[in-house]
Amino acid sequence: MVVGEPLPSHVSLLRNEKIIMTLRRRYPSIFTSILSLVGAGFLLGGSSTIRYIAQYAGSFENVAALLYAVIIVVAVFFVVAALIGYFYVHGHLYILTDRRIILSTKFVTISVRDVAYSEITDIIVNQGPIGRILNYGSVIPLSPGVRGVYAIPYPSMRRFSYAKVGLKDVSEPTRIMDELFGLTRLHR
Amino acid sequence: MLLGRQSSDSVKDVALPVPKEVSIAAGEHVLMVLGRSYISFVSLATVGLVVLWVVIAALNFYLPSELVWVLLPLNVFCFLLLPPLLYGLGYVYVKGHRYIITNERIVMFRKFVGILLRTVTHDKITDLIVNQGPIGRLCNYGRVSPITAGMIMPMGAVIFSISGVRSPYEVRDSIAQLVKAMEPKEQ
Repeated sequence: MVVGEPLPSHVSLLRNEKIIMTLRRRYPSIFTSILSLVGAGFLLGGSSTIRYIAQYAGSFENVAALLYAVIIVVAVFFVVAALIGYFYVHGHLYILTDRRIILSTKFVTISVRDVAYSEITDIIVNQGPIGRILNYGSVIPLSPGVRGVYAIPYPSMRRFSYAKVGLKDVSEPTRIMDELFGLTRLHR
Repeated sequence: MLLGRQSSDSVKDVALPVPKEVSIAAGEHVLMVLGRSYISFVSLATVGLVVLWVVIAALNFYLPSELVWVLLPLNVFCFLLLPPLLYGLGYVYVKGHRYIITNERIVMFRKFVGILLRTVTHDKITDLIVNQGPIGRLCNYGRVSPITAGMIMPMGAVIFSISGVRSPYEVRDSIAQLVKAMEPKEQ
């Protein structure tokens, strides 16, 4: 939460607009995403991989070699995902000014959402079990243009969207929600 | 800008404690703190269990006798282990719900494994929907859904709502009065 950080080129402030706080996405959050991806991959492809390995059950060396290969593939995937995830996470920037919230994501593509405090209808906070332990979570300000379907906590039910509509995986989400509520009160 | 924690003089009619994750702003007064009734979960879980038991019983009846060994662990799980697990976890799930109504907003809070929190100010509420099932009508509980332009039907009514509260029509009336009080005065 640093005020005075240089703004990215795709974000500009209005005249007399002041930055109240700048938030960034927490890096540990990417590991939960990677773990869920690995888990989903195991659920989808695990049984066929085990069946494939079982074909070579006669030769212990072959089974061991295949198991090692699977472990190495998973480990390489994890390292690559963590590396890419670092740049992905650092591309997220959320700026709370005295007039609006600017949500910016820069990773391959650029996506920016501006929402004025007066337009916010609901604020949703969503923290997963690991987020509760590490004290991070998502704060989603809804408006008549960006509706509740984006705030559903179950990813399988969420409509796929490139637009980044919430303050994803920020530190102390309940405190950020309180700050947002205070700002919306001022702009009622 | 920082919001103060809830002070005792800001509470008017509170039976349940406000969770520590929810802060009450300066000048904001807690009018009601509601919880979810356990019966609302029990009725839903019982219907699910009965359906599952019927399916398992049908499997027991129709599957050939050679496959009984497959059904044994399934029967043990569904008839012996699942009910206490479901009702026990359900109790914790229900106790994790808090609905805080203040003079400015409604906070819907759920703490179970993760945390889900929705806050909506009274001036943004466009509709109030009350739903009561048949058991809810008998036991006087139901769901009050505050709908806004940002949280439209059916999402606002199903996931982010005041679910399983006692006397839902009284709750609806209380919120309606607060919404009315927040409306801008006519010229």
